[in-house]
Amino acid sequence: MNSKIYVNACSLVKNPSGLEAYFEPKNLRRMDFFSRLALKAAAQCLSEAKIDLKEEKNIALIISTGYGPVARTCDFMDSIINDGDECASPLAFSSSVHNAALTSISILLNIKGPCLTVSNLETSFESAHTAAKTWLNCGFADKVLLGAVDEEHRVAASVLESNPEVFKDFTDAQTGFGAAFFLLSRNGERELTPPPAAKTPLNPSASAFALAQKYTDILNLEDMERIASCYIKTELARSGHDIMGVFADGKASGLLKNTDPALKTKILKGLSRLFSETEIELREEDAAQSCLNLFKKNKFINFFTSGSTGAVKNCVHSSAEVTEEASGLLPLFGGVKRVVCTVPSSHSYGFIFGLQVPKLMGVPVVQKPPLATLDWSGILEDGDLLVAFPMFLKQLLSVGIKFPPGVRVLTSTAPCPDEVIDGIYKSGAHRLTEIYGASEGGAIGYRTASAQPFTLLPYWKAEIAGGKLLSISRRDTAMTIEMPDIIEVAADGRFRPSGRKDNAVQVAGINVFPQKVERVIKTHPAVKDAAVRLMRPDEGERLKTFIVLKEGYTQSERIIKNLRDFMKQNLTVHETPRKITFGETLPVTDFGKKKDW
Amino acid sequence: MKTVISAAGCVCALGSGMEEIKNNIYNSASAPRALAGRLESVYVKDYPVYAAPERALAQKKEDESYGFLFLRLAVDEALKNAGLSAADLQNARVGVIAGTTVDASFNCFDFYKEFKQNAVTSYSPLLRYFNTPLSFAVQKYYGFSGPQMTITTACASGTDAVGIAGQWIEQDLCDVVIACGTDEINMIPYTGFIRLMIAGKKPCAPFSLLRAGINLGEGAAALVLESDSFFKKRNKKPLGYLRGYGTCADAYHATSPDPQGRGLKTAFNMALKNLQINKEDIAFINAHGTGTQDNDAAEAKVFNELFSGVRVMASKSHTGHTLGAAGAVEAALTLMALNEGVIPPSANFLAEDPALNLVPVLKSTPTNGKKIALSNSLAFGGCNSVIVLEGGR
Repeated sequence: MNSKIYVNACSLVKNPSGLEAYFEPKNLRRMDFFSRLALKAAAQCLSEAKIDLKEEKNIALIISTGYGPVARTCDFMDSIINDGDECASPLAFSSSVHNAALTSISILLNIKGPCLTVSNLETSFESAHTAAKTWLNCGFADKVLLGAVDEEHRVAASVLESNPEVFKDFTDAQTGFGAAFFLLSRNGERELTPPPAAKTPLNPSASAFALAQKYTDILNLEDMERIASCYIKTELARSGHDIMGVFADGKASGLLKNTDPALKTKILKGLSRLFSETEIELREEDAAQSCLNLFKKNKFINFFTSGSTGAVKNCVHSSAEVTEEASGLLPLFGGVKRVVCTVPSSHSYGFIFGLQVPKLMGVPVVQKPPLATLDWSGILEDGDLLVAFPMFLKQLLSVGIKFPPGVRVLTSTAPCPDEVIDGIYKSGAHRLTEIYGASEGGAIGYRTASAQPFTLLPYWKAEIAGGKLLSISRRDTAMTIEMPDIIEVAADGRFRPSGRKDNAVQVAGINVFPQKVERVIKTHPAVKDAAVRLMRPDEGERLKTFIVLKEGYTQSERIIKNLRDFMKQNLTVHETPRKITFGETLPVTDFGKKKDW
Repeated sequence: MKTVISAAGCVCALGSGMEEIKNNIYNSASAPRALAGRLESVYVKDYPVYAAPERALAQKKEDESYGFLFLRLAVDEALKNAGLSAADLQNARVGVIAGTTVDASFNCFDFYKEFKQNAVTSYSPLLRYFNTPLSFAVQKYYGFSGPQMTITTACASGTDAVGIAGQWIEQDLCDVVIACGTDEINMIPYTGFIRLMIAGKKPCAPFSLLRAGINLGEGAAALVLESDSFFKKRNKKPLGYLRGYGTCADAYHATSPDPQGRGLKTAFNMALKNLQINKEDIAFINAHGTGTQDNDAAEAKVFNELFSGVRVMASKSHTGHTLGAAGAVEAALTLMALNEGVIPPSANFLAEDPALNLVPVLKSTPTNGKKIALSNSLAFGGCNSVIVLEGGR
């Protein structure tokens, strides 16, 4: 039996709160901690796999548990001791059987396939894995939902505290609890490595929890890529490693497959930390110098972008290309005496405008975090070039910034709304330059007023067809890039982007995909249909969603809370719509095309 | 699927060993009784159980549970009947799959009472609980080397053990698999089933009018499944074959079966898939037949829909409900009946229930040369498991 099995989705739960996001409270009323843990992990795992929780599923269900619902067994024994045989609790007994969790899961998640509960203490998960592989190999089921669940053994925990020498011969005397679920099949990208037995019967599902931790880290690719890009900016930039080989396949998953063990440990450690934007900025002094050193040594720099597919993509710029770009931008910034940069140097925008251009201009650079609450009126001086981005500029306007005379403002990384540009001028900025660019190619065009089209920067030559800009090539170096957006070109050669080719939108500088968010929201048990789009400028800068509820569900505080909890658990911060509108049908035009609301 | 079952061993209320069991089942010689001494319960006199024979109970070692006692007696007999010694299995890949409920549960009631009173006299019961998962204990006791698994899908555990054992052989995971099940009468399930009003005061009467619930039983059975290549080394006739296995969840209720029998029907269809047999080829079905209103009604519905006219045997009327052991015990009894060519009578039947349109065999009935039988189990929580067995002799 050598065929491989793959993890399609995975979840790890230590806290069963939030089940109300998935199920009606009446179905949870009498459920104990053990079954709640398992149920939540199962629901999360299926949700991650985009499986409708309510529809009937022919999935095999295998539960491994070292002890079963041991607390309920103790409760039942307590009821005999305290109340006598004739008043012993029948509910406690019925929920004390080992396959209680399997029962709850199969009923509430409508799983009507082969089922099994395995319990042999610390080898339970190892055995259950063998059973799962057996069933997949013989075609019993196309998918197996394999779960491991255990609660802390209260008697053992008590004895450990009062008489630890009782367990002196045990390899490990740590107790544990939780639920880890894996959706397995014979196809996928993440092969399930056979799990070892847990070290101790006092924490019989420990190996399952460890495995889930590993796969949860790896499988949640979007979060991982976001964290990876932050981590890479700050850590690898100063590692000195040749990171080209690491990212050879261009995907973040390759990051973990192709690296040597030491670097892999370092990357995983970094991935486990969530970098806030503030942390990145505070590290920027170091990272900026590291980027420069690396660039000088290797004669190239590698930028990482969330890209058009959502997968981390590496964009290599040779030193010649960087020099060509920085030199070509110089004429835009005559009279600049100092650069105040709020963008990390490991980002292509920050590298060019925060390091290379100032170097060519021979002016100093000051790194500042993009916090609107700083005293910018006191920080900025005549002759400064503030290197910023649209969200930060909007925040500056909201705190009523007044620019000192002679301050120039630069913005890029995302389209800057016209009203922001106008607002910056009204706040006293000498000039605002918006750069249109892409990590793949660097700066492409610029404009200095709202509603204006962009002017192609002089170091590019354009390929135009049918009034659309198809690709651009550098004049001096070999770089050619296809445009990531749909670009319309006017007769005077200036251009306007009119939307992403990949249907991504930007939320706080991060590419998100409204269609993907729609798909996730539609997996909620109460949702019949949903639409997601970016808010209009007057509404905000996040996503919003229009939801049509299924029959039997009505708009209520409870439903709204359920939906918000569900979105919080299944979407990233940037993907989570801030505004929910309900209606009986999705808004469409007379021709049936989705429209704004 | 056609996996060799070379031998079986069994201990239950009918006797200790297959020969004694065979003699007693055709004479309906077992009966439930009050189990004083081992159960300190107010219900002992009113709710009888099918206890294992005294001479089996007398062989219990001090440091083992009754569940393990029954299991080693059954495994000893099975290995002996299979003609296998420890030496034969030393270099073989031997798997152990054991079904149980009590042996995997923290049912150390006497220890727990002391613990609650801060008056523990010995931590041995606690350590025994943590040190010996059942299937691992069997491996260690016999010195087997191979995968092991303890199944706790309640009353379907024994049937699942046999079915998955067949899959392990088919997938070349093992040369031999000991598929077994064991359970002992224990204060916790005894009290629990009474409090759930599932246990009855009278001898259980599967499919009968006025049936009043289960009687708990105890015992164990072990079946030896072997790969063709391993079995062929010995010049023996197989006891029988495992021909199919199916299992499916009802997703209906925590303690009652789906009255429409949807999960059970699916399990039957899975087990019979790819087998070119008609219901006329089936000698009998060894029903789960617990003697409760709901269970028997759900089963009768399915039997009438899928297997109308096929004879039904209800062996729990002889053994009681042996919980995690039931599927394995019933598999052993099914093979015995196929090889004898005679279906044993179902005991304690009072009168036909018109709502069921089903009467189990009430006297010893020839199989008329038919070699195939089905054995099904319905578990707490709605797990339904079925195996298809073929007699070998």
